[in-house]
Amino acid sequence: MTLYILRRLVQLIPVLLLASFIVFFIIHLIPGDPVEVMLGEGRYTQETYELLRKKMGLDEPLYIQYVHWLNRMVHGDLGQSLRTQRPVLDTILERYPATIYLALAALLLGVVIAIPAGTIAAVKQNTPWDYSAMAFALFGIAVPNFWFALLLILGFGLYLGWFPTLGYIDPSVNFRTFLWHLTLPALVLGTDLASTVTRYVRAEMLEQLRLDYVRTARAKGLPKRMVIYKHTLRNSLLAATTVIGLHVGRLLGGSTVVETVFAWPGVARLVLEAVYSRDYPVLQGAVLLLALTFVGVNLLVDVLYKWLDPRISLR
Amino acid sequence: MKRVLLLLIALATPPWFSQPTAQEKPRYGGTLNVGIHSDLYGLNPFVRMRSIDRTVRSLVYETLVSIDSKAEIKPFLAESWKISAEGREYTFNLRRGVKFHNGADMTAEDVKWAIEYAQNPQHGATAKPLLENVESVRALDRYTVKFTLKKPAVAFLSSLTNLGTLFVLPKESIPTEETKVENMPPGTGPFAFKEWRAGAHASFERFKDYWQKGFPYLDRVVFKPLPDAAARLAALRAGDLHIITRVPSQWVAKLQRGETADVSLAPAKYSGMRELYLNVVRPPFNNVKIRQAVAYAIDKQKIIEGAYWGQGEATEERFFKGSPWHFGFPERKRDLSKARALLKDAGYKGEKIVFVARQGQEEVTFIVPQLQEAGFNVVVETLEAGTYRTRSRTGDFDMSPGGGDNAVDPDEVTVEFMCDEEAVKLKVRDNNRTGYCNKQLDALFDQASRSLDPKKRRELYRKGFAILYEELAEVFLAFEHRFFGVHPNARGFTSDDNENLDTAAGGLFRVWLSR
Repeated sequence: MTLYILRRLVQLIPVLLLASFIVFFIIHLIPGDPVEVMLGEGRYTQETYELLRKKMGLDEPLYIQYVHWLNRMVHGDLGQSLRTQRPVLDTILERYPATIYLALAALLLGVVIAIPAGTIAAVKQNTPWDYSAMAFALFGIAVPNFWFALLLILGFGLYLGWFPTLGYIDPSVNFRTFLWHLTLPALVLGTDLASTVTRYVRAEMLEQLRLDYVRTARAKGLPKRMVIYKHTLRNSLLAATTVIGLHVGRLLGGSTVVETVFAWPGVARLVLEAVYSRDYPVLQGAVLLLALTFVGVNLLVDVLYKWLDPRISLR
Repeated sequence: MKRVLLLLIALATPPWFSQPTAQEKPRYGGTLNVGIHSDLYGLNPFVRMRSIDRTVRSLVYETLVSIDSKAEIKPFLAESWKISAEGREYTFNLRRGVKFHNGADMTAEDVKWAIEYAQNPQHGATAKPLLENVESVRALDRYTVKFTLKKPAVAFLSSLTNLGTLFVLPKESIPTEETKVENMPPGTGPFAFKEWRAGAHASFERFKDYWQKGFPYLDRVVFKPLPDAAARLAALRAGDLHIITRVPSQWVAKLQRGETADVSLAPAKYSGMRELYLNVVRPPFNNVKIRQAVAYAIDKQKIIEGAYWGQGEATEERFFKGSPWHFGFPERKRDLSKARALLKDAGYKGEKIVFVARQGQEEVTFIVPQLQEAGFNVVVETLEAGTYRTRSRTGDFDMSPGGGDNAVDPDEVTVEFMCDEEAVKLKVRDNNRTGYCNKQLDALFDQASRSLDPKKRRELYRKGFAILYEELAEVFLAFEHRFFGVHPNARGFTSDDNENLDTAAGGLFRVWLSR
């Protein structure tokens, strides 16, 4: 097991290299450059343009820029943001917790909703329980996040006034206020996750319930509840775990819309801002970190497989 | 009787009018949360970036002279000034006792340094082209500074009201040949820079030694970027924000009617000049008839109703009606038969026209069908801001919507229309987007900028803009009215026509929180 994890960690290196390589060249393929974005719509001279370009180190050939970046990165220096002039690492680490908290809260919420909902829907197939669980799942998938987010803001933020409409408070400053601010964005992302996972849990559960071992267990007199909790649920979670693992990527890098609507200062929005302002170093660093987290989470998922199904061997 | 009078006053005051403050005594303290439509781009005050940067910077930096709400030039950091008879020498007496946020006194040396820093091409200052005409700056004594210009320029004084031309900061706040700043250098404004966390907030603290005694009222101003307009408005209405920039146009009419008592509006009426750039150096728009056909094909009123939800004024000119530089050229009404006749006359055979637009430029949705109806073969390419910028700079477009600030004097904008053949050739159209070049126009504008006789000067500009009215390198569309949204707890806020937050006309220094 330890060896397996170590080997997986070593495999991380080429993955990250490839990710950084792809991001670096793709962002440079997009027309537009940081100097133009920086100078904005105002008037300026070509002289000014060239000077800034040089100062930002953008006058060198692309592959040289990449090698420079790689060299610095290996030495633990992700460079400086072209836009804010602050170190990239600081910039990212500042925004990383907000993203992680939001992802964890959404994950928790998603799992807490999805597993019972999916299980009940399967066990009570074709009853109102099943229909309502599936209606919820359909709603979650069909409704766009930004719309749902605005709806929550209007309903709970503006009319009822229960929750703040925007912003992020660090939990170390005030934990209650932090939770307060976290609720609505987590609800949006959690619903999104839950609706997908519910369907998987239900489908998998339905399949398991028809298998021979369930019939055997029931025949030897085990109560239905016991069969479900002890046997089928655990077996049905395999598929759900895979989906959740993949969904984490979406929670980390794809929560842009939710972060934008709630003014939540996370990494997803940082990536978007970096693309818009062509802030190459920040983009590179952020993508690297997201890739690292994503790969880490999926490693965790693989280890979880082993726990869920001891027949799986990790090699 | 008294009751009738009160009723009359209530009826005469539009409900969206900024709150009355006369009866109430302003309160000190509190944090004002301002929701902004876009995050800041950078902190170096010399580099222009986007309009939001200027809006926020106007809290920290101040100009020598400023424009008040009646569009008159008023003393600001300069107490008085003298202009020499031939209009080449401007001498300013600086206000005494003005302190910078770092505690130092503002002196003539600081003004001199700011100009010289901006003029040095090493620094990439956006004001450099605007200060081209300044030959030298001398500090005559501690509080007197004299500018000598290369050629007389009447508009020099009004250009100094613009934060983009000159603002004062302590000398050597940024080392020579350095352009990177991690913090905003100190200024003289009512609030001092505290910190910026990109994407999260930018905060500013009350400057206790501000020269306008008794101001500001607030302890802190925090800007929070919230690009989604609906979310911004909801947060304002819920009281999580006190002021927001750019109230979504579809809401303005409702708010004006007073349907939602929880928000009032502060207008920045002429900050959004909208226009259509036509690339005149390549077919088909190198033909003036085809350009004129565009002007007759579009229905500006429809665009205003559709894209700006009625919040705008159609225009044929660069300056709005009511500005001293509005010349009253006749309005072109939509006339399809005229447009078609012009196209036929010009021999237009349905050649493809690339309409390059930026995401969020809503007028495109309305302009394109209008053009198509007249017989133009328009293909739209909607691009993200960075790409759009490159396309328009390199001249890789046929037509493209754009916009500009509300200028005070024509001198600030003529460069948009004057020949720059080199820029077209090198594909670096930084000032003149369309590539339009007309030596006769250049001569008129040049003469006008030197002229000291206001009457003659106006006449020269009128002639120049009349040429542009006929030649149509740019088709002026409208002034999109923009509004700040204000929560009832925030009192005393007004802005100017350029969305500035600290000028003689008003700003955040007069704002206070009632709760």
